[in-house]
Amino acid sequence: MFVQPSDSLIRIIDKNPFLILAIEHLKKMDYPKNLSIEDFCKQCSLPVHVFLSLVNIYNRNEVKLNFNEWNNEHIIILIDFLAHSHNYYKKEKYPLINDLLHELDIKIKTKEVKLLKKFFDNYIAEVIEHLDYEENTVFPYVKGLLFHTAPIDTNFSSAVYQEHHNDIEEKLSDLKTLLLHHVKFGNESYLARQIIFHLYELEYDLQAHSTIEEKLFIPLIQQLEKNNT
Amino acid sequence: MTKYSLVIVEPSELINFAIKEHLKKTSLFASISTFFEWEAFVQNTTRHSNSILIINPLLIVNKEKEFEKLTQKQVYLSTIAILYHHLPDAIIRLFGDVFYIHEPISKLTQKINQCLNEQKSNVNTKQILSEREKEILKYLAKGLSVKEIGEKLFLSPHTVLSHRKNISAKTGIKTIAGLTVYAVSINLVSIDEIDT
Repeated sequence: MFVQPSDSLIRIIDKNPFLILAIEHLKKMDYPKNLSIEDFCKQCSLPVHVFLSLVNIYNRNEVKLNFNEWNNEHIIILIDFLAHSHNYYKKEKYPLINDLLHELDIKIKTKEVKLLKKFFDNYIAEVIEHLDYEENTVFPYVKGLLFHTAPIDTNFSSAVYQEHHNDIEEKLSDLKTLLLHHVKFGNESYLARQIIFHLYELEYDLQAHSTIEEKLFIPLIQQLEKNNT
Repeated sequence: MTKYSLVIVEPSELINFAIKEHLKKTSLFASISTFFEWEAFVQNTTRHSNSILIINPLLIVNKEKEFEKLTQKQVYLSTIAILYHHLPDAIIRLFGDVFYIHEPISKLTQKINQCLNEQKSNVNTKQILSEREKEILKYLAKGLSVKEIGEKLFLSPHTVLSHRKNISAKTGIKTIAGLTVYAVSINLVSIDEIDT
């Protein structure tokens, strides 16, 4: 469903509950949701086009970036959104899945689950490295471009970005496939089910996150770089 | 029902448009994206895994390696070349199927259906790996490179890669780390033999 300014927020959440993730990453969960998108955005001082771009990407729609609509303040909102998503991955989702896999490992004690846990540990290490790169290098670099502060030396490359995203998504998809098709759980299937549900939620958010970076954030950075030269 | 996505990369606006409009009517695809150049396609490459790529081979001349790398990475991607006239086999070999623009367009739909059926059978039926594939999987799990496996089994790297692609299509697992867990789970290798 392509979301329009006149749509009711409650209705679009009802159609796709994963939109709650987008609203939470914008830190707007406490605002009333029985409003149209336009009114909701007014209430929480959010530019409508920013909100629409994000929720439409969460709804898996193609979003066209109109550079003229995006001012510096809007790009800061986008950076905060991305940073908040990182917190959700690092502080909530990964530790949760990690604990469940650990419990599964203790209860089942098979070589597959042991390896699966190792696979997940390596995957997490890789993701954290990418998220840290964004937080410590990319975000400060973009803020430097926005506020014309001292140029920050960076090897930022959109190709590397995309490569990281593909690797992260492939490993997550493998983890899901292994759990769904190839690993036996005996009496502990409730643990496997919980892990699989968390993985689906994580995958949904990560895919939207990557698309937001590739279709909005990176082109906006490139535009800023052009304007600054 | 699996939703497939279609990507058309063809420099002629007319042909690009005609293929898109025809295939829209078939309702086979959840999304259809069109590009006129290779670069634009690579930059916006789709994240959907079940896809058909229809492409004019002239756009990948001198970029064959890049093309192979891209298509080999995406396990559920079928490629169809749009040909205006005959091209050397070395180029044709890179594609899953070919479609000449003077052929009836129904033939294109037929070829697409064939590709989609192959993808479905790869995904849906639990296929058993062949002996050769098991052998290659064993070496992959032990950490050998495609080149090293080729040397051990007297196969070209291209053949090893093609087996690797089939293994991924049958198991649904794309990364070496994931395939290693799988290899251990079916007792192809023991935990001590792999480098974790």
